[in-house]
Amino acid sequence: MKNTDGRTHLRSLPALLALSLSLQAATAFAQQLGPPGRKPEGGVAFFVEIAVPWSALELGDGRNERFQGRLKIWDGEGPFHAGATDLVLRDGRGEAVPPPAALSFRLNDQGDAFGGGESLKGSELPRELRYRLIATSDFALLPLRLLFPHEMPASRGSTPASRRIAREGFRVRFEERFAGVERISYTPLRSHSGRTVRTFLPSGFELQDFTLTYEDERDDTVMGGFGLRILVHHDRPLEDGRPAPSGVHHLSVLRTHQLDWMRETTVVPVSDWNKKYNEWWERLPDQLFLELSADAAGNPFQSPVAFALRALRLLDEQTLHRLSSQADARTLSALAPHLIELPLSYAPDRFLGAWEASVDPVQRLLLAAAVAETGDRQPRFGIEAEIALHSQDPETLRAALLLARTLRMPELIPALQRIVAGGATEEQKLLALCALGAQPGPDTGDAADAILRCLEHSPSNRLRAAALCALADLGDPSLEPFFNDSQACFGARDPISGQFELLVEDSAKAGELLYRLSKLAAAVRSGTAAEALSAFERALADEGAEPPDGLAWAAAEWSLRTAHLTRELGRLLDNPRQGPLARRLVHASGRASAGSLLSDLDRAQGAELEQLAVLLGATKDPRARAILLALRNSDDEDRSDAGDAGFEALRRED
Amino acid sequence: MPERPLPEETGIETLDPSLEVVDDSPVARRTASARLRRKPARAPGHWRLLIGIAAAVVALGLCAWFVIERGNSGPGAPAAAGEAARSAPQAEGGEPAAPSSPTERVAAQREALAPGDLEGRLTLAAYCREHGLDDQRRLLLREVLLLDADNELARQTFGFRKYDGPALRFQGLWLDAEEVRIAEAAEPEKADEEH
Repeated sequence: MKNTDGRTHLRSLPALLALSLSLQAATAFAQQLGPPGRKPEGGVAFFVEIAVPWSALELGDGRNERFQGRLKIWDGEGPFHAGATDLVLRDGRGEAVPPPAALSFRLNDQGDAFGGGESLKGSELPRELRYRLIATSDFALLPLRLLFPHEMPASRGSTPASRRIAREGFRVRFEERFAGVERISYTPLRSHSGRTVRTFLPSGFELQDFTLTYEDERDDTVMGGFGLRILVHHDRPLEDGRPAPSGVHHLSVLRTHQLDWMRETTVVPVSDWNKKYNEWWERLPDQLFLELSADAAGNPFQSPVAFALRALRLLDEQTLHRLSSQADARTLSALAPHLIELPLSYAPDRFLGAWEASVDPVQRLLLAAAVAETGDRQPRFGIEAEIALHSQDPETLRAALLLARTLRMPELIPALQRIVAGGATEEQKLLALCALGAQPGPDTGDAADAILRCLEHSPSNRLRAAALCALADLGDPSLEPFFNDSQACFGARDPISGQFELLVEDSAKAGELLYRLSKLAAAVRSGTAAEALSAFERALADEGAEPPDGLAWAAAEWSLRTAHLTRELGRLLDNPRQGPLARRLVHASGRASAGSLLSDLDRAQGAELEQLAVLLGATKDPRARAILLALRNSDDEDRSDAGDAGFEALRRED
Repeated sequence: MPERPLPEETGIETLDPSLEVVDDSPVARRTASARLRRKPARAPGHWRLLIGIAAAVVALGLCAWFVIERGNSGPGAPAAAGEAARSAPQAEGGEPAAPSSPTERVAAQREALAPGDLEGRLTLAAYCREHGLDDQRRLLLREVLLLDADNELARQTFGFRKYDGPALRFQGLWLDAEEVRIAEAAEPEKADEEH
């Protein structure tokens, strides 16, 4: 799911929310309200860890950062100031992280923190309103007030913070505040689990929390919990008619638990708490998946849950296979736009069956895209794509462009050309350029002409970057003049959000990246496996760097298109140096190669059988397990050995 | 009155038995009785019946073809109607093979429609409805939705309903029956009740 038009309006929102998530707990002490919870045994503190905050709005902002804040107490009387009452944000190494200097949004008259008809970009939020906003947030995440005593004299404790608090003689009090939140709904999911949705009006932002709480068996008080928080805006135009800043704006995982101040330890031993956290994390895909069907109702693109499954990398082949066995067309279509961009193997039959049954246009196009990505490019998909590329409905056109990208049919080039040259939106043009860049060789002249015409029409730098990268993907010689062009720029698709991002505007560096991308594309398109591996090694050298290396992102996308090299790569799987990368490529393109491997496996004998079994295992394809198990249980020694080798490859974790 | 030639003489068999008794001459009566005796062997009435049926089938086929052609060339007809006729399935030897059934004709017309031809699909869908070709109609209306996701006729045919309730997230969206239930459950009053 992408944010499209709200890109510049909410730039500091992720950082703000990261901050707010922690501050909320502090403000919880502000004023008295609510029944008493757990009786104090010397006092408790509240520990919040915010992991994997993510935003589509600003690259690198919050990516992979791990904040942890030990909340201390604010008595709610004086101003919220540094010191005993302040929040300390720390990065993964324990270094203090300063909170953002400016908070670029404000409450409107209705108290909606995210603004209404006015520009979302505003002046710094007045401090007292900021506290109000922050206070709106966390009581739905967890029943925090149950975590704390109703009133607690902080007269004891041994840490400096506790001593300081004791000196100031404060008392802990609670208040639930919902400023700006029009309504809150809570849906119980399973034992102690739930989904809370808070809707801000009139802006339409939603804060959704998937939470799991743990209670003390002795008195049923809450010991803490875990939560997945998603800030999302659905595709509902704002009151003044401007397009909505639709999409997921923030994603974070929270862990909360009690600390006993007297003993300076956690109420629940850390090892137990980590174990519970791991259990929750393992169950989270199931919980989210069950919500997916309702979540995607009306528009498969608008499912925050599908986005969370992708962004948090919660799905693997077996989980997907297990959960999708009962999934309906809506669920599968909501997953499809993410699956086609992830290195995950899946069987096409469920998507094909759902496609046969569905009549919704967007669902059908997305399901067809998922099937086509496995290599099953049926002519009837092409017919539907060609028709839908004439649609005026933005969602249908978006789905059709995704399908066109996976189909790679030259027959679709004229329609794509019309979109690139016409009055389509920037996002639509970006998708059309990607589809043109994915055209198979050798005759890519028409696609290249369409891209070049787009470049001539002075597009934005982001669009220009997409066009140049599409030319590089094509391996077209017309790209060469741009290696030294003063207007060269470079971008790539964010592997988490799926959104094309402009990454490099320095023309010299962009030219170099374009050159390297074109070499990678040429190596994959027409080179040997060894040549492709070398090109991938060079392109992925800076993978994981911050700021992100766009070439690594592009290479990760190219890794999905190496199915034709699978057999050759099979000879390098155990190579000490190149093996890990070869295995990664076989896995990434496994959904497109597994079908032919499975059919060849039936006829193979001896050494070829073992090689195919290993390759099949390396694809991690969900169909492989049963086949390899049957081989392993065979009475024939060769077949049994092949099954063993295949299973080893299947289980191998790189 | 000139003597009317006998059927045997002219080599033409009439389908009207009454003609056989107009000429009441002995020769004619003899010849007629002889013909009546020969009828079981030659069964000329059976041939007449077959020829009549064949003529009726051809006439009906021509009428149906004319209706389709006229429908496509009238106001609001698909722009590719002429192309449809030209690109109809070709028989061996390059001669156009006229589709033999409405189903085949609709299939040929559908294939010949331009990808962006919304009106042509709607017209053809209307023809399918008139002729009870439900599968083809649904196929065409699915394509209509690909072009015009907001098409009321197609949406309603497939059981979608445009949501206009209070759940903000769903306002203005076409929902199927299950999605309507989801939307209604998300309406503030109902959600609050559940809460």
